[in-house]
Amino acid sequence: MTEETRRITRAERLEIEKEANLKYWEEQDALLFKHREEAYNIGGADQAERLVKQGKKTMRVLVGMLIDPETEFLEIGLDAGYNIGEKKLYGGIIYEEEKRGHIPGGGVITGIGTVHGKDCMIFANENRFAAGTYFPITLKKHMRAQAIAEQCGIPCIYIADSGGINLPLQVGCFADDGHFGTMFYNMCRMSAKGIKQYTLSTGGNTAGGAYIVYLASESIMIEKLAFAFLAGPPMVKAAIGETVSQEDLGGAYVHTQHSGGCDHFVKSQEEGIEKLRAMIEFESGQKIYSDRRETREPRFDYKEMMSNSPVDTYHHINIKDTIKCLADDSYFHEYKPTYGLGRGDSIICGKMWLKGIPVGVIASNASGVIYIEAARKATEWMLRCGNSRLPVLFLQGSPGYMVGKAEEWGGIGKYGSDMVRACSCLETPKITYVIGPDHGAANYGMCGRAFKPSFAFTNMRGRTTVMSGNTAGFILETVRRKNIEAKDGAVNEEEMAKFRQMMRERYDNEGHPFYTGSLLFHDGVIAFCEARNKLARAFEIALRVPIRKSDWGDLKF
Amino acid sequence: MSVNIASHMPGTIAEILVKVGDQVQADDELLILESMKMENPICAPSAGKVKEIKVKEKDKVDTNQVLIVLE
Repeated sequence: MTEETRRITRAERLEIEKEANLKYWEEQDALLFKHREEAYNIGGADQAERLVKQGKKTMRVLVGMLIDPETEFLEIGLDAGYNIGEKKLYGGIIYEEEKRGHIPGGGVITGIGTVHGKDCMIFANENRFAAGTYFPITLKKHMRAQAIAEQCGIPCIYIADSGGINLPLQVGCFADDGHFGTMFYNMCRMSAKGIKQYTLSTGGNTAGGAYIVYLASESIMIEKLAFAFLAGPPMVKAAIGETVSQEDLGGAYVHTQHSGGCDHFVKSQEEGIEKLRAMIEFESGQKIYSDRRETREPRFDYKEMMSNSPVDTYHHINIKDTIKCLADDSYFHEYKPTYGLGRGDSIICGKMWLKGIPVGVIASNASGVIYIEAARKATEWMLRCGNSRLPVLFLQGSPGYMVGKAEEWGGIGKYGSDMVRACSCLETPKITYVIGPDHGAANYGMCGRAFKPSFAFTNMRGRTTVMSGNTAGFILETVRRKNIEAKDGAVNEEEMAKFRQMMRERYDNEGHPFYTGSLLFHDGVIAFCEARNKLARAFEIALRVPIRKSDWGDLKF
Repeated sequence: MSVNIASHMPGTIAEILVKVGDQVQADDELLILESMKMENPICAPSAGKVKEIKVKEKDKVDTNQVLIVLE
């Protein structure tokens, strides 16, 4: 056999692929960083200038001043609102009609920052877009951040400057559970649980929006910048004929000297931020409910993880190459490594230390297709993690459970439902990181959004839809074909091919991390180079409250 | 001695990477089986020569169906 015709071995092929993979994911993550810039710089120079004229700093600068120096702000839901007008949810077309079809960042900044060493959930209205008003997506983001704060028992800090509900979009903002009122309901309920709520008003807080000041545990208003009233001067004029200035109607001095609706009067944003920090200094210290040990760096860096993630989401992945880049010392203790070879190993279970925090791992491997053996193993492992109060990281890259007669007879539905039940009832902190296909019931068993993971992240390789674009194209074509044939019509093959292609593209588009992020189906896209730090940070926050006992309900065996 | 390479899951043959007479090493990819939305490589369990290819591209195959014979 000559050199030219010698077929390359699998090992050689993988080596070539590794280089291509690395290059591809570097490009994809560069795209992600560029995507974020849009939210950071929303409104451009015009809006920044407008704020300067008002004597205000941007909210991002204020957040930077609020958190401890040299600490990182773990942003939640930064991908929200991008091209929201093109989406078919949460207002959809109405955004377009109001020329508000693209809201990078979703209209409010939310994330976890450290103030005097304590984790706090920080909210800041993006006053460079539509006067900081609330759109349906803004509310969804606000509620998500409040839910995390409540779950993790961390104080909330609101830097408020909002025109309230965006009036043309009121139907998606006002009346329902999860709408504007829920934000106040959450403040009250968290406060009752002992989770403090602090507000710095640095702009308008009109009508319902004023409650963000009044409902706070302690609040601050800034002279001549902050206003809070049930109705602004024009409405007061219309209603009762009274002429009054903003400052005299609901300025900082009114609420700190007369109404008592606000507790602290300050003269500048800087002073306001200092006051906020002073309040948090009195908050009780936080601990981590984990037997944490010292951090050890992995023996492989994140580039190894990039090289070993195939460009195509639907190609096999060796997930141990990812785990070794996340785990301390690249050490992974695997559960049942020899069980059901070829079938049981489409899910890898085990434990690792993540920056010193012991964490259970349930990870899709190879094709990720879940067979009976893999489902049984994953359920057993969730039970064990729950019983030993170990938090769990789900690395999701599964396109679904195995189908067909053999699996059905063997009980794949039953064992899959066990996984879903275990994942629902697992009370330890769960964090999901989608790193591949995320479809069908595998999304459920591997702790998709509906199963309330403490945090849900994805990387650029993740694709989340009910099924893959390919399958959707095939199924929808079959249905359409049947319908046409039932009506004795002739199938136009060219049209059918176009239809199949259209459905395939639509699904591929809808499953992209930017699309799902825009609708807040996850808390953020994490780049490969950030994965270890951000996942460890998220576990730290999720472990601020004691881990509850898990009760498993009526499992089948 | 012949070695039968069988499909471990039902699916469709997406691509055949070898031809009869090819010498292969252990772990070399022989063909790609498309199943469950995924492209699954079928690899040689040991070194050998491709004696027979029993399927063609786009064929539907069942679990345990012999795809390739090595010798």
